[in-house]
Amino acid sequence: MDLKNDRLDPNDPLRLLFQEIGHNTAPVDLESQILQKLSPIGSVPASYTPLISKKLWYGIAAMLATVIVLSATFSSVGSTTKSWISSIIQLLHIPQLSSYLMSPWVLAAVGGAFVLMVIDQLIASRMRTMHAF
Amino acid sequence: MVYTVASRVMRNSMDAEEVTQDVFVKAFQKLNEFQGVGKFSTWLYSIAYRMSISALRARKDQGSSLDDMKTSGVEPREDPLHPVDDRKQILEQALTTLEPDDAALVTMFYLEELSVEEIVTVTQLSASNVKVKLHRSRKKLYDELHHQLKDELWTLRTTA
Repeated sequence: MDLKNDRLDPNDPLRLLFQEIGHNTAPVDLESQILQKLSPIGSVPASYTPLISKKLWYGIAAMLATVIVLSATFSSVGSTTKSWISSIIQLLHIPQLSSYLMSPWVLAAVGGAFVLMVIDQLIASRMRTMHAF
Repeated sequence: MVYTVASRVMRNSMDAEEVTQDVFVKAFQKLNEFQGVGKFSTWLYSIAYRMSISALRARKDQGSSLDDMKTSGVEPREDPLHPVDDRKQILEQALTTLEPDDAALVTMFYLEELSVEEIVTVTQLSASNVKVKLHRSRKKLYDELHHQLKDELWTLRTTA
């Protein structure tokens, strides 16, 4: 060994002897034992985080409920008696709220949320099926 | 190679097997810690070396003395030429005269042909310490093997 250059002399008899003798032979079943030890680690189910959190779902549900209630309320056009929601809206001084709520944007947002909910459920059920095996 | 390093340190096939299994489990668990900067084999050897040394210390704490595992040498042999298996046995016995970590070091250097720099990475020792250990181990091995193999060791040089 050349200690100054940290190089191994290719003709070093010790190197030749080590190379000739080679590695220690591991027991035949060692590989299977290692794989057996590794298999439970590899099959640990990955933690599943929902795409949409529970809080957001509550928000979406509240929004949906509001839209349904408001739709039901404002659909009674021509009615002489004012509903309690109309009174509240008037009290809040937001006269155009009903038009905002019934706009295509709001409806698209509600529809989009519904689609996301379906996708989320599908992914969750698929993950459960995968980890069942 | 993992098994070879473990068996050089542990000097017991059962313990070496156990350490090898633990090394692969640990490597699997810590796979995300491999930065990809150095060689994967060097990273794996560093786990193997550290776990072997830890297992040896644990075994020592349990009562087995390192001195019990070291032998004072091998009796001279009659026949001048040894088949490979005999030479293997002689080398293994000569390695037992070294400290377990030194035996692992020379194995990495001569068998796996790791550079001093790589051995430093594996063992976390200083470069000068690695060089001193290699130099000392080499001298000791030469003395042991020269005594056992006589001219045969030098024949390897000329026939290579």
